[in-house]
Amino acid sequence: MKEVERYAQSLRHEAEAGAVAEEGSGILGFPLTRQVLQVCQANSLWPMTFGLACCAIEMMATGMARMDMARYGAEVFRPSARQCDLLIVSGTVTKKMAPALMTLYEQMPAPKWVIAMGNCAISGGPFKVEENYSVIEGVDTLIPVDIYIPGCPPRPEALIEGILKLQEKIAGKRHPWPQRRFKKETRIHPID
Amino acid sequence: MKASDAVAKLSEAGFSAEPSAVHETGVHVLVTLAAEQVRPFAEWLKGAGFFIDFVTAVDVSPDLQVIYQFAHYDAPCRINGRTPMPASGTLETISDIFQGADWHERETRDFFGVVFSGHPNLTPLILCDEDKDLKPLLKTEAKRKAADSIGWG
Repeated sequence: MKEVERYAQSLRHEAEAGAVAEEGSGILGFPLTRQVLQVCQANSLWPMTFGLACCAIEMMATGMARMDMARYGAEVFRPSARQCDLLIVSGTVTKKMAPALMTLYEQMPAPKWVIAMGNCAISGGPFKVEENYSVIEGVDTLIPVDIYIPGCPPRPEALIEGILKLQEKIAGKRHPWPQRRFKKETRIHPID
Repeated sequence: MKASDAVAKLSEAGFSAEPSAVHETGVHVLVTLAAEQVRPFAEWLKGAGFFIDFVTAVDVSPDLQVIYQFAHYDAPCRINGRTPMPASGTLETISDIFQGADWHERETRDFFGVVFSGHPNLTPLILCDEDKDLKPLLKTEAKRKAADSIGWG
Protein backbone atom coordinates (compact mmCIF):
# COMPACT_ATOMS: atom_id res chain seq x y z
CA MET A 1 0.00 0.00 0.00
CA LYS A 2 2.98 2.31 0.45
CA GLU A 3 3.24 3.19 -3.22
CA VAL A 4 -0.42 4.17 -3.41
CA GLU A 5 -0.08 6.25 -0.24
CA ARG A 6 2.89 8.13 -1.67
CA TYR A 7 0.88 8.76 -4.84
CA ALA A 8 -2.06 10.06 -2.80
CA GLN A 9 0.28 12.33 -0.82
CA SER A 10 1.71 13.88 -3.96
CA LEU A 11 -1.79 14.46 -5.34
CA ARG A 12 -2.80 16.24 -2.12
CA HIS A 13 0.26 18.50 -2.31
CA GLU A 14 -0.51 19.27 -5.93
CA ALA A 15 -4.11 20.12 -5.11
CA GLU A 16 -3.03 22.48 -2.33
CA ALA A 17 -0.50 24.21 -4.56
CA GLY A 18 -3.16 24.51 -7.29
CA ALA A 19 -5.62 26.13 -4.89
CA VAL A 20 -3.04 28.76 -3.91
CA ALA A 21 -2.23 29.53 -7.53
CA GLU A 22 -5.91 29.84 -8.42
CA GLU A 23 -6.50 32.46 -5.72
CA GLY A 24 -5.35 35.16 -8.03
CA SER A 25 -2.44 35.98 -10.21
CA GLY A 26 -2.67 37.66 -13.61
CA ILE A 27 -6.16 38.30 -14.88
CA LEU A 28 -7.66 36.18 -12.10
CA GLY A 29 -6.52 38.86 -9.68
CA PHE A 30 -9.60 40.93 -10.56
CA PRO A 31 -12.66 39.88 -8.51
CA LEU A 32 -15.06 40.47 -11.42
CA THR A 33 -13.15 38.30 -13.89
CA ARG A 34 -12.92 35.62 -11.26
CA GLN A 35 -16.67 35.75 -10.61
CA VAL A 36 -17.53 35.58 -14.30
CA LEU A 37 -15.21 32.62 -14.74
CA GLN A 38 -16.63 30.84 -11.73
CA VAL A 39 -20.21 31.27 -12.95
CA CYS A 40 -19.16 29.83 -16.32
CA GLN A 41 -17.42 26.89 -14.68
CA ALA A 42 -20.36 26.15 -12.37
CA ASN A 43 -22.89 26.16 -15.20
CA SER A 44 -20.86 23.90 -17.46
CA LEU A 45 -19.52 20.94 -15.54
CA TRP A 46 -18.20 18.11 -17.71
CA PRO A 47 -18.28 14.84 -15.75
CA MET A 48 -16.24 11.82 -16.69
CA THR A 49 -17.86 8.63 -18.01
CA PHE A 50 -16.56 6.63 -15.10
CA GLY A 51 -18.80 4.09 -13.40
CA LEU A 52 -17.41 1.77 -10.74
CA ALA A 53 -20.43 -0.04 -9.29
CA CYS A 54 -24.20 0.14 -8.82
CA CYS A 55 -24.05 3.90 -8.10
CA ALA A 56 -23.13 4.27 -11.77
CA ILE A 57 -26.61 3.03 -12.70
CA GLU A 58 -28.10 5.91 -10.73
CA MET A 59 -25.61 8.25 -12.38
CA MET A 60 -26.78 7.06 -15.82
CA ALA A 61 -30.41 7.54 -14.75
CA THR A 62 -29.51 11.08 -13.70
CA GLY A 63 -28.22 11.78 -17.18
CA MET A 64 -31.29 10.37 -18.90
CA ALA A 65 -34.51 12.17 -19.81
CA ARG A 66 -36.51 11.72 -16.60
CA MET A 67 -33.99 13.32 -14.26
CA ASP A 68 -31.93 15.14 -16.89
CA MET A 69 -28.77 16.65 -15.49
CA ALA A 70 -28.74 18.88 -18.57
CA ARG A 71 -31.12 21.19 -16.73
CA TYR A 72 -28.15 22.24 -14.63
CA GLY A 73 -25.53 22.14 -17.34
CA ALA A 74 -23.74 18.97 -16.24
CA GLU A 75 -24.78 16.50 -18.91
CA VAL A 76 -21.71 16.31 -21.15
CA PHE A 77 -20.20 12.99 -20.03
CA ARG A 78 -16.79 12.68 -21.65
CA PRO A 79 -14.95 9.39 -22.13
CA SER A 80 -11.55 11.05 -21.75
CA ALA A 81 -10.15 12.43 -18.52
CA ARG A 82 -8.47 15.22 -20.47
CA GLN A 83 -11.84 16.69 -21.45
CA CYS A 84 -13.41 16.59 -17.98
CA ASP A 85 -13.49 18.80 -14.95
CA LEU A 86 -15.73 16.68 -12.70
CA LEU A 87 -14.92 13.19 -11.47
CA ILE A 88 -17.95 11.41 -9.99
CA VAL A 89 -16.58 8.46 -8.04
CA SER A 90 -19.69 6.34 -8.38
CA GLY A 91 -19.03 3.11 -6.54
CA THR A 92 -16.58 0.86 -4.76
CA VAL A 93 -12.89 1.65 -5.19
CA THR A 94 -10.81 -1.49 -4.80
CA LYS A 95 -7.10 -1.53 -4.04
CA LYS A 96 -6.46 -2.75 -7.56
CA MET A 97 -8.50 0.12 -9.03
CA ALA A 98 -6.88 2.80 -6.85
CA PRO A 99 -3.81 3.55 -9.04
CA ALA A 100 -6.04 3.79 -12.15
CA LEU A 101 -8.41 6.16 -10.38
CA MET A 102 -5.57 8.41 -9.26
CA THR A 103 -4.05 8.43 -12.75
CA LEU A 104 -7.40 9.50 -14.20
CA TYR A 105 -7.68 12.25 -11.60
CA GLU A 106 -4.18 13.40 -12.44
CA GLN A 107 -4.99 13.47 -16.16
CA MET A 108 -7.87 15.89 -15.67
CA PRO A 109 -6.92 19.50 -16.41
CA ALA A 110 -7.37 22.03 -13.59
CA PRO A 111 -9.65 23.39 -12.30
CA LYS A 112 -11.21 20.05 -11.37
CA TRP A 113 -13.65 18.77 -8.78
CA VAL A 114 -14.48 15.40 -7.27
CA ILE A 115 -17.82 14.06 -6.04
CA ALA A 116 -17.73 10.96 -3.82
CA MET A 117 -21.04 9.32 -4.67
CA GLY A 118 -22.45 6.69 -2.33
CA ASN A 119 -21.31 5.07 0.89
CA CYS A 120 -18.58 2.98 -0.75
CA ALA A 121 -16.80 6.01 -2.11
CA ILE A 122 -17.28 7.91 1.15
CA SER A 123 -16.08 5.30 3.63
CA GLY A 124 -16.06 1.82 2.14
CA GLY A 125 -19.76 1.45 2.95
CA PRO A 126 -20.86 -2.17 3.40
CA PHE A 127 -17.28 -3.32 2.75
CA LYS A 128 -15.91 -1.54 5.82
CA VAL A 129 -15.77 -4.73 7.87
CA GLU A 130 -13.01 -6.54 9.70
CA GLU A 131 -12.56 -9.10 6.91
CA ASN A 132 -12.16 -6.46 4.20
CA TYR A 133 -8.90 -6.93 2.34
CA SER A 134 -9.52 -5.31 -1.02
CA VAL A 135 -11.63 -2.16 -0.74
CA ILE A 136 -10.35 1.38 -0.14
CA GLU A 137 -12.22 2.79 2.85
CA GLY A 138 -12.99 6.24 1.54
CA VAL A 139 -11.82 7.69 -1.76
CA ASP A 140 -10.72 10.83 0.12
CA THR A 141 -7.71 8.84 1.31
CA LEU A 142 -6.59 8.87 -2.36
CA ILE A 143 -7.72 12.14 -3.92
CA PRO A 144 -9.21 15.41 -2.59
CA VAL A 145 -13.03 15.27 -2.50
CA ASP A 146 -15.31 18.31 -2.78
CA ILE A 147 -18.80 16.87 -2.28
CA TYR A 148 -19.99 13.74 -0.46
CA ILE A 149 -23.36 12.22 -1.44
CA PRO A 150 -24.52 9.59 1.07
CA GLY A 151 -26.79 6.73 0.03
CA CYS A 152 -26.54 3.12 -1.03
CA PRO A 153 -26.93 4.01 -3.80
CA PRO A 154 -28.06 7.67 -3.68
CA ARG A 155 -31.16 8.44 -5.73
CA PRO A 156 -30.69 10.55 -8.88
CA GLU A 157 -32.20 13.50 -7.02
CA ALA A 158 -29.39 13.20 -4.51
CA LEU A 159 -26.78 13.32 -7.26
CA ILE A 160 -28.45 16.42 -8.72
CA GLU A 161 -28.44 17.96 -5.24
CA GLY A 162 -24.73 17.14 -5.04
CA ILE A 163 -24.12 18.90 -8.32
CA LEU A 164 -26.11 21.91 -7.14
CA LYS A 165 -23.99 21.95 -3.96
CA LEU A 166 -20.86 21.81 -6.10
CA GLN A 167 -22.12 24.73 -8.17
CA GLU A 168 -22.73 26.56 -4.91
CA LYS A 169 -19.17 25.81 -3.87
CA ILE A 170 -17.75 27.01 -7.19
CA ALA A 171 -19.89 30.10 -7.81
CA GLY A 172 -20.65 31.07 -4.24
CA LYS A 173 -24.43 30.71 -4.41
CA ARG A 174 -27.11 28.17 -5.19
CA HIS A 175 -28.53 28.39 -8.72
CA PRO A 176 -26.01 30.89 -10.09
CA TRP A 177 -27.06 33.10 -13.01
CA PRO A 178 -28.63 32.27 -15.51
CA GLN A 179 -30.35 29.40 -13.70
CA ARG A 180 -33.91 30.28 -12.80
CA ARG A 181 -34.50 31.40 -9.25
CA PHE A 182 -37.46 29.83 -7.53
CA LYS A 183 -39.62 31.38 -4.88
CA LYS A 184 -39.15 29.76 -1.50
CA GLU A 185 -42.40 27.81 -1.54
CA THR A 186 -41.78 26.36 -5.02
CA ARG A 187 -40.90 22.68 -5.10
CA ILE A 188 -37.60 22.54 -6.91
CA HIS A 189 -37.68 18.97 -8.23
CA PRO A 190 -41.28 17.93 -8.83
CA ILE A 191 -41.10 14.31 -9.95
CA ASP A 192 -44.75 13.27 -9.97
CA MET B 1 -21.71 -38.80 -23.20
CA LYS B 2 -24.69 -39.70 -21.06
CA ALA B 3 -24.41 -39.24 -17.33
CA SER B 4 -25.31 -42.89 -16.76
CA ASP B 5 -22.38 -44.05 -18.91
CA ALA B 6 -19.87 -41.64 -17.46
CA VAL B 7 -19.35 -43.45 -14.13
CA ALA B 8 -18.65 -46.78 -15.83
CA LYS B 9 -16.31 -45.27 -18.40
CA LEU B 10 -14.42 -43.22 -15.82
CA SER B 11 -14.01 -46.29 -13.57
CA GLU B 12 -12.79 -48.24 -16.59
CA ALA B 13 -10.18 -45.54 -17.20
CA GLY B 14 -8.96 -45.96 -13.62
CA PHE B 15 -10.58 -43.05 -11.77
CA SER B 16 -12.62 -43.50 -8.60
CA ALA B 17 -15.97 -42.21 -9.82
CA GLU B 18 -19.33 -42.42 -8.08
CA PRO B 19 -22.79 -41.34 -9.24
CA SER B 20 -24.46 -38.42 -7.53
CA ALA B 21 -28.09 -37.33 -7.12
CA VAL B 22 -28.11 -34.42 -9.54
CA HIS B 23 -31.19 -32.76 -8.09
CA GLU B 24 -29.49 -32.52 -4.71
CA THR B 25 -25.89 -31.77 -5.62
CA GLY B 26 -26.17 -30.23 -9.09
CA VAL B 27 -23.63 -32.67 -10.55
CA HIS B 28 -24.03 -36.15 -12.05
CA VAL B 29 -20.65 -37.70 -11.23
CA LEU B 30 -18.19 -37.23 -8.38
CA VAL B 31 -14.53 -38.15 -8.89
CA THR B 32 -11.94 -38.25 -6.14
CA LEU B 33 -8.48 -37.83 -7.56
CA ALA B 34 -4.92 -38.20 -6.39
CA ALA B 35 -2.72 -35.21 -7.21
CA GLU B 36 -0.89 -37.00 -10.03
CA GLN B 37 -4.19 -38.10 -11.61
CA VAL B 38 -5.34 -34.56 -12.37
CA ARG B 39 -3.67 -34.28 -15.77
CA PRO B 40 -4.68 -37.77 -17.04
CA PHE B 41 -8.21 -36.99 -15.82
CA ALA B 42 -8.30 -33.72 -17.75
CA GLU B 43 -6.89 -35.35 -20.86
CA TRP B 44 -9.48 -38.11 -20.69
CA LEU B 45 -12.30 -35.56 -20.37
CA LYS B 46 -10.90 -33.52 -23.25
CA GLY B 47 -11.02 -36.65 -25.45
CA ALA B 48 -14.59 -37.39 -24.34
CA GLY B 49 -15.84 -33.95 -25.39
CA PHE B 50 -16.12 -32.21 -22.03
CA PHE B 51 -15.40 -28.56 -21.32
CA ILE B 52 -14.19 -26.98 -18.11
CA ASP B 53 -16.63 -25.05 -15.97
CA PHE B 54 -14.46 -23.83 -13.14
CA VAL B 55 -11.51 -24.54 -10.88
CA THR B 56 -11.63 -23.53 -7.24
CA ALA B 57 -10.70 -24.78 -3.78
CA VAL B 58 -12.24 -25.31 -0.35
CA ASP B 59 -10.23 -24.81 2.80
CA VAL B 60 -10.95 -27.84 4.99
CA SER B 61 -8.89 -30.00 7.31
CA PRO B 62 -6.74 -31.99 6.98
CA ASP B 63 -5.98 -30.92 3.39
CA LEU B 64 -7.25 -28.11 1.21
CA GLN B 65 -9.46 -29.58 -1.53
CA VAL B 66 -9.01 -28.35 -5.09
CA ILE B 67 -12.22 -28.70 -7.13
CA TYR B 68 -12.51 -29.06 -10.90
CA GLN B 69 -15.91 -29.03 -12.55
CA PHE B 70 -16.57 -30.14 -16.13
CA ALA B 71 -19.69 -30.32 -18.26
CA HIS B 72 -20.56 -31.79 -21.65
CA TYR B 73 -21.74 -30.14 -24.86
CA ASP B 74 -24.08 -32.86 -26.16
CA ALA B 75 -25.81 -34.39 -23.14
CA PRO B 76 -26.40 -33.11 -19.63
CA CYS B 77 -23.43 -34.50 -17.71
CA ARG B 78 -21.66 -32.52 -15.05
CA ILE B 79 -18.56 -33.99 -13.43
CA ASN B 80 -17.03 -32.72 -10.21
CA GLY B 81 -13.44 -33.75 -9.57
CA ARG B 82 -11.62 -32.98 -6.37
CA THR B 83 -8.15 -33.62 -5.13
CA PRO B 84 -6.55 -32.95 -1.75
CA MET B 85 -3.66 -30.54 -2.11
CA PRO B 86 -0.35 -32.38 -1.63
CA ALA B 87 2.02 -31.24 1.11
CA SER B 88 4.20 -29.49 -1.46
CA GLY B 89 1.33 -27.03 -2.13
CA THR B 90 1.81 -27.62 -5.84
CA LEU B 91 -0.46 -29.17 -8.45
CA GLU B 92 0.22 -29.58 -12.14
CA THR B 93 -1.58 -27.12 -14.38
CA ILE B 94 -4.27 -28.23 -16.80
CA SER B 95 -4.31 -24.87 -18.62
CA ASP B 96 -2.49 -26.38 -21.60
CA ILE B 97 -5.24 -29.02 -21.95
CA PHE B 98 -8.20 -26.75 -21.20
CA GLN B 99 -7.31 -23.15 -21.99
CA GLY B 100 -10.33 -22.06 -19.95
CA ALA B 101 -8.59 -23.23 -16.78
CA ASP B 102 -5.91 -20.55 -17.15
CA TRP B 103 -7.68 -17.72 -15.32
CA HIS B 104 -9.36 -20.07 -12.85
CA GLU B 105 -5.99 -21.38 -11.78
CA ARG B 106 -4.68 -17.85 -11.38
CA GLU B 107 -7.74 -17.00 -9.27
CA THR B 108 -7.29 -20.11 -7.13
CA ARG B 109 -3.66 -19.16 -6.57
CA ASP B 110 -4.80 -15.64 -5.57
CA PHE B 111 -7.36 -16.79 -3.04
CA PHE B 112 -5.94 -20.06 -1.68
CA GLY B 113 -2.23 -20.04 -2.56
CA VAL B 114 -2.40 -23.22 -4.65
CA VAL B 115 0.60 -23.16 -6.99
CA PHE B 116 -0.04 -24.67 -10.42
CA SER B 117 3.30 -25.82 -11.79
CA GLY B 118 3.76 -25.40 -15.51
CA HIS B 119 1.26 -22.55 -15.73
CA PRO B 120 2.52 -20.05 -18.32
CA ASN B 121 1.51 -16.89 -16.46
CA LEU B 122 0.73 -17.43 -12.79
CA THR B 123 0.42 -13.72 -11.91
CA PRO B 124 -2.38 -12.35 -9.71
CA LEU B 125 -5.66 -12.13 -11.59
CA ILE B 126 -7.83 -10.33 -9.07
CA LEU B 127 -5.59 -9.20 -6.22
CA CYS B 128 -3.29 -6.23 -6.67
CA ASP B 129 0.44 -6.97 -6.94
CA GLU B 130 1.40 -6.11 -3.39
CA ASP B 131 -1.29 -8.43 -1.97
CA LYS B 132 -0.34 -11.36 -4.14
CA ASP B 133 0.45 -13.63 -1.18
CA LEU B 134 -2.53 -12.60 0.95
CA LYS B 135 -4.62 -15.78 0.37
CA PRO B 136 -7.78 -14.08 1.66
CA LEU B 137 -10.13 -17.09 1.48
CA LEU B 138 -8.06 -19.37 3.74
CA LYS B 139 -9.88 -19.94 7.01
CA THR B 140 -8.60 -19.58 10.54
CA GLU B 141 -7.97 -22.76 12.49
CA ALA B 142 -11.12 -22.18 14.57
CA LYS B 143 -13.39 -21.85 11.54
CA ARG B 144 -11.92 -24.67 9.45
CA LYS B 145 -14.14 -27.74 9.20
CA ALA B 146 -13.25 -31.36 8.53
CA ALA B 147 -13.45 -32.53 4.92
CA ASP B 148 -15.74 -35.41 5.92
CA SER B 149 -18.29 -33.14 7.59
CA ILE B 150 -18.44 -30.92 4.48
CA GLY B 151 -18.81 -33.87 2.11
CA TRP B 152 -19.27 -32.79 -1.46
CA GLY B 153 -21.25 -29.75 -0.39
